[in-house]
Amino acid sequence: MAWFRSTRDPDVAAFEADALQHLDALYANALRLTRNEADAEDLVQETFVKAYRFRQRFEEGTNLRAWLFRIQYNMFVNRYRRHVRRRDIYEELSQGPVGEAVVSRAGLSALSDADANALRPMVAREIRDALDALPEDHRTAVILADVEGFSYKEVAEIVGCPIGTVMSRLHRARKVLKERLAVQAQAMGIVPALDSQTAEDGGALRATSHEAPVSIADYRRGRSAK
Amino acid sequence: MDCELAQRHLDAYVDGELSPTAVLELEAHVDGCEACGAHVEFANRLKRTLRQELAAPPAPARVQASVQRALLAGESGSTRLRRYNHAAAWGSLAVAAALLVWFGGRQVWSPWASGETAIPPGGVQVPRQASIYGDIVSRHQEPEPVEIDTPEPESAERWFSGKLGFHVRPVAFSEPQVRLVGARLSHVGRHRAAKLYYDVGDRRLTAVAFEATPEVLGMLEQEQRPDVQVVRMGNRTVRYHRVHGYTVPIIEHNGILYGFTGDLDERRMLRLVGSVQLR
Repeated sequence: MAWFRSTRDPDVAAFEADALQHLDALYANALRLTRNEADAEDLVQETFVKAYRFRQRFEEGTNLRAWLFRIQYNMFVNRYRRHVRRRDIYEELSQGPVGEAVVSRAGLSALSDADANALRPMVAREIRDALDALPEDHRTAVILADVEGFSYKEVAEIVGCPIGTVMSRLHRARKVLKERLAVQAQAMGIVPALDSQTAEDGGALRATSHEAPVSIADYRRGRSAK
Repeated sequence: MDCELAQRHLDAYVDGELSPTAVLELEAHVDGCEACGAHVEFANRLKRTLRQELAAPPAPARVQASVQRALLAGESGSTRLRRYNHAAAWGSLAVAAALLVWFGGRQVWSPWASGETAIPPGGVQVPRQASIYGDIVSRHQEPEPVEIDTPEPESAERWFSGKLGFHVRPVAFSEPQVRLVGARLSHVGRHRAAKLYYDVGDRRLTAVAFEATPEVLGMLEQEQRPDVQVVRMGNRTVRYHRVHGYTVPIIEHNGILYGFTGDLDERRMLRLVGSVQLR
């Protein structure tokens, strides 16, 4: 009876050891997705069980971490679809055009200034709030690319969308983050208000006003040139 | 490269997705353009900050434990998944312990003393999660692998030697259909226990042996009427309780409690336990 096996299949033990290295990242991601410890724990557990069941489908030499994240994301979407849908309805509201050019050059510099470390005191709260306010798929793109360090291709595979979509989600999400941080920083007096800077920063502001993510054609040209 | 093009390539640049030639072109522009430089610096800093601030903290130990249990269950073909709520379980034990302290001043009542109809002092019910009977069912349901794979009671007895604070003798059943399969260290509540696996034909039976300490007896005491039945089988007193459809008989022998449960109906379970031979 399998129940009573006293020794474990070495392949299974090896799989478990490799996969469990990513437990912390998967749990943190599950928490971000579900926003609930109990659901996160279930999601992580089910992710590992599914990965274990389909371990033959994992291609050796590819990124195990990305594969586990993909399983987790699929499971989240399938299992929590109702919640996701409900959130989408709510998030329709925030899909309107993003305000342009709210950040002056001096503001950007102040926000970026490593010595003043202006970003630091407000990041914990403000970045989380700003991220939370993003639509689910935009937030996921930021988390996967910026926090987890996945490439565009890996992010696209994890969430099951084209690379161009990943790029536009990232671009849009960062723009919103930038805007929120700038507004907050101005409110806190960390960076100067926009108005007096507008004229001298005209170049930068005009650039932001028609900024768009690099096109997928440009991106592919870039990748093929590598 | 002009400002517009630089801005369009900014994301791919900070994400390291730009080709080396494009990187050179963009950097050449940014070096001479303060406005674009500010955007690049900000984008880099935002990315770094996000990574630092949102880095994954270690998952709680219980999450790792539940994942490993689930993997073990998957390995043994079981599809049952159950999140074990440690906080609730231990919280309940704490409640049980508090109740024991409350009852501490009273005479310790042993369910194994003479007088089958003894009624426990007090009428407070210990929460179900702290139930010893319930815990025995949990041990039976859990897909823990055996640590010693043996059909021989003597081998299991040798294996347990020195591992627990008491001597473990595997239970022998007079019914030949019951076969020892293996054993492992386990626990009942927070008490260390020997867990013995048996096959009864194609059904499973689990026996758990643990010490009859005053605390354990006190906990059992709280689980008496109306749920717990007491029957006399031969010269042995068997107390049993039905939990989640399982019949859970407990017997005592030389200061050791033996709890049983299995995928068997009540009559079969009791007949088996009545036939137990203990040295």
